[in-house]
Amino acid sequence: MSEDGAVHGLRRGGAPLTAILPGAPQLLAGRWGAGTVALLVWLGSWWVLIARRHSLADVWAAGWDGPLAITTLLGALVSCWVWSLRDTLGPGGHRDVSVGQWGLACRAFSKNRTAVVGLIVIVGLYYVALITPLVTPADPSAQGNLLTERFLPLSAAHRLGTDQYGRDVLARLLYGARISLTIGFVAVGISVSIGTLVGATAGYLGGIADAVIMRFVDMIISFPRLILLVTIVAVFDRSIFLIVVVLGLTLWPGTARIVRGEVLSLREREFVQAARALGYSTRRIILRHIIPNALAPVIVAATLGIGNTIVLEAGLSFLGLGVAGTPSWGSMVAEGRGDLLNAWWLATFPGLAIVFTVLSFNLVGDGLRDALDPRLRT
Amino acid sequence: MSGRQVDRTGEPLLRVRDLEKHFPVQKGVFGRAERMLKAVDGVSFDIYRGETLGLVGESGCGKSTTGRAILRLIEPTAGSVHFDGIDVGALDRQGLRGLRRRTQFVFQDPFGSLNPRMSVGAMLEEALYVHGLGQPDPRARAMELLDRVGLRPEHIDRYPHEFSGGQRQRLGIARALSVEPDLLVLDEPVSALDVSVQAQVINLLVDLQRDLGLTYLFIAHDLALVEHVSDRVAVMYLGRMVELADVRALYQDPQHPYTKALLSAVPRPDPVGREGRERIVLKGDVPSPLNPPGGCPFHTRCPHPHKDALCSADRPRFEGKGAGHFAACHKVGKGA
Amino acid sequence: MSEILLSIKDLRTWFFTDQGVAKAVDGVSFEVREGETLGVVGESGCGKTVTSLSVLGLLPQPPARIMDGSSILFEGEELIGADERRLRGLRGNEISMIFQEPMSSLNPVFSIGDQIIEVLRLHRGLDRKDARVEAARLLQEVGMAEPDRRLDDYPHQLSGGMRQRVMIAMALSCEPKLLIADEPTTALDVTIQAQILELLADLRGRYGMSVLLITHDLGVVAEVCDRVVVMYAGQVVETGDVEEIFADPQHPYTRGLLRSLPSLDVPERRLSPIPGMVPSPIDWPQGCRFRDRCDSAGDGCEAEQSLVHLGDHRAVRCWKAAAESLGGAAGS
Repeated sequence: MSEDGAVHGLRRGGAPLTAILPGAPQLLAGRWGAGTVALLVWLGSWWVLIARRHSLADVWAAGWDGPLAITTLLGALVSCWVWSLRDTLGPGGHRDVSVGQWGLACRAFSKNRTAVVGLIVIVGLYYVALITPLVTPADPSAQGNLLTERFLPLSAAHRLGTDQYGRDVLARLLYGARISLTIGFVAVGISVSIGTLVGATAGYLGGIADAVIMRFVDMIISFPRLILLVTIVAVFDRSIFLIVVVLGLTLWPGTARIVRGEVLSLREREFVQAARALGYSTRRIILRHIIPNALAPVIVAATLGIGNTIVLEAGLSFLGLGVAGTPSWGSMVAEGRGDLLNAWWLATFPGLAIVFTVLSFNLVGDGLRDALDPRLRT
Repeated sequence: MSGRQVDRTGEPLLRVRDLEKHFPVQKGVFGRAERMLKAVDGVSFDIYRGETLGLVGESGCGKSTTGRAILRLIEPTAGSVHFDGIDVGALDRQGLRGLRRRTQFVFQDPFGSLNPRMSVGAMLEEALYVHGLGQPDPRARAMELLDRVGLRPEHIDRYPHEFSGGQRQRLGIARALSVEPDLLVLDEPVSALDVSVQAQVINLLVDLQRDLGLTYLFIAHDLALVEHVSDRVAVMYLGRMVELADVRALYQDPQHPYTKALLSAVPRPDPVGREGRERIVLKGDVPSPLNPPGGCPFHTRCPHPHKDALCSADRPRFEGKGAGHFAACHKVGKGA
Repeated sequence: MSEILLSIKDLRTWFFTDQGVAKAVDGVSFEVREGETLGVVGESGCGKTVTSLSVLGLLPQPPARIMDGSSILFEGEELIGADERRLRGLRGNEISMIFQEPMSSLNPVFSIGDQIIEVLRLHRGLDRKDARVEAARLLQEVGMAEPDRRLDDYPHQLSGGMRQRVMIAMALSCEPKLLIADEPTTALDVTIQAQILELLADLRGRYGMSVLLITHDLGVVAEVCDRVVVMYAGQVVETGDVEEIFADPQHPYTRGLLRSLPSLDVPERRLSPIPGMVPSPIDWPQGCRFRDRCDSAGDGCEAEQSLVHLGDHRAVRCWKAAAESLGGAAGS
């Protein structure tokens, strides 16, 4: 099919182009998802690097996140370049090579346009969050002149305006992204790890252990999460650590249920029985035969879970229970809602940021669900 | 149908006595089983080295459960299984691993019996690795196995979804052969395949038995197929064995009324003879194994003309009726 | 010779998928006559089920499309392109269908009585009371004991054989002229299969309907059919009276199928399989579609084969077989 032709064309003319514009050959060959990501990261990173070339030393000296930002930026540049070059020069005709279920899922996913767009947005968001100190126009907590710099509308100096303390909204939005994305990622990471472990244990052991574990899970689920959070935040302080841990520790039962159900059905599958008939150890069966096959729904749930957690965190911040001290999208919406009529930009942009981020996660989650669904192929 | 001679004078390779497997169906509040499903209810048979014992019956008769219970893939409730003189029931974890090397299982579903996330090579090499086989070059050995079951060795890096049903069934057989077993339990190995492919796999199994000296327990519902591959055939009904005999004796001179009905119900590809053939169509359904009839389990559907009170009161013993022919029926005389 | 009830001409049902165009049914023609049982036999993927679903207009379009030039005449009326209301009127009334898996064809949340009564009220306009009486009569008709009590059972309370009887009762409710039975006994045990086949034969005699029996099982075909259509790779490869097909198969595929069958009556340890595997509908082989697996393929087989009529009832899609047969007939 035409795909093969494109791959060959890519190999012939791609190498020189990839040396200056990684991603461009892939884009020309019709692989727009990977191509766009590589090209955007490449061009964007160079732009940031050139625009901020005079202040790189300052950023490097500024605490832990400055060096992190610069390292990430350089790392992204190098990896874009290396990936694109290897992709064009590497062993061609990779379409003929056998692909496993994961490879098939990747192919199916890459055919889903909306999901790929979602993934591009997410990759971009995380990237920007990592290099925030390099792209931020101002210190997010630096107050401006309260007489002349309050509620400034969108302008060249303040692209998204300023708030009631004269702080730059764009800078706050960028730093807020870090809070939202970190909380989403880490909390889901914690909950998925716990959930997979607990669910797989319950599902594989079965019997009384299963019953006891799942009743405990039911108990956690039935506990009103919001009240728990309010209590904990009221008793202790509003640190990001505490909020992440509380979210992570209350979100895992959903994953546990999914994994347990999956393991219960996998345990009866004939290939697991065949593994038992071959005398494999229980550990080997769980690690090599059950868990890899139970992962698909977990990945989907985790992706959707990140979106949900971001909304949850925004809600907490909106209620004034979020992370103190650092701007977060939820608290920005909360602060801006009173001035919605005279300074619409205060609540609108963080609100849009939440909507688009969560939407992207949900698009990717749905795309993964379709791509990983084994019923769609045999 | 052999025309081959199987030596049945020595010790059988597999000796099964009074095997039972009961499943609890409804759990009480405190995990106490309230009703038992007697999937296998006292089954005894021997398999001799190098022979094929066919095990037939309709769905739910317990034939698959029997196959799994003798390999302890599920734990039998009662009864004894001896494999090559070893008491299988008494084996500990280590001993069981040794048994797994000598006995293997081939499953029915060519789609469900292979791990979809493992390449063929990884699957075969794992089996070799676990049992310390295939040294020094497990990959070469895996390719040899593929060749042995009629697949191309260069397909070693493919994944299960890239194969057709018949090819996957060959992969399942290759996996079973990887540990060089003596006994293969084949659970409906071809019933999910198309007719023309079925014959390919059956021929492969016959060749493998001839070349490697394997012993088969061939579980199937297709009576014609079982006749083709078996030396002796056992018929099960509601968890019990109703008849066991040499394949020729069983098909040409069935004793038990259920076997007779089963054989006559098989549609034959012979439209000319269909009018004249005597056909026994059994009335009603197989009773639920949760609530099997008392006495002879078949008496509710039995078409035997001399069926009487004894049949509904007393469970007939599975006993020799002469010349290696066993049946469980009050109405079959000894020496029949 | 009796009247032609259903006539399928050059039916092509293609599926437009991401992977390509699957020509599941690719130029199928055959007829069902009044009162006969016609068996359509072939392996999975040969297009036999898609053919039957095309007759009832039950395929989702897209991805399926019935291509121009196809024709399905039922009592002389063209069904392709007929409006949905007309088709709905035919389905269940004039043409009924039963499927392989009766469990998934019955709605699990309604009692079987409710489901039969619904059909009767819809198609025959009976009121509730009459419909219940009629439903009980139908269950009696299909050999169910205590039909009155059975009406209140739910599908899960019945065995597979019982459910298939219920499906047949529903199919019979309007005394259809044509019953399409798609693998009606494949999910059943042989003793139950024997019951259902006996019932179908009995009902066909009493109701005088035609039966289009779709199956992969040559044994079933031999037991109940009058004529046979053998399908391979989306095409009809051979048709004929059942005795002729089994006694004197012409197409190499039919011969191969019969040979690969283990037989109860002539046991032999080695079977004769057809080599290779069924091709994919996305990529049928060029020329004769059976060429790769055929033991007598040679020159002339790379051409597309057409169905050659050997007589009133007999046709074969193989130029070699046709030449031999016609040549032999001319010589004698």
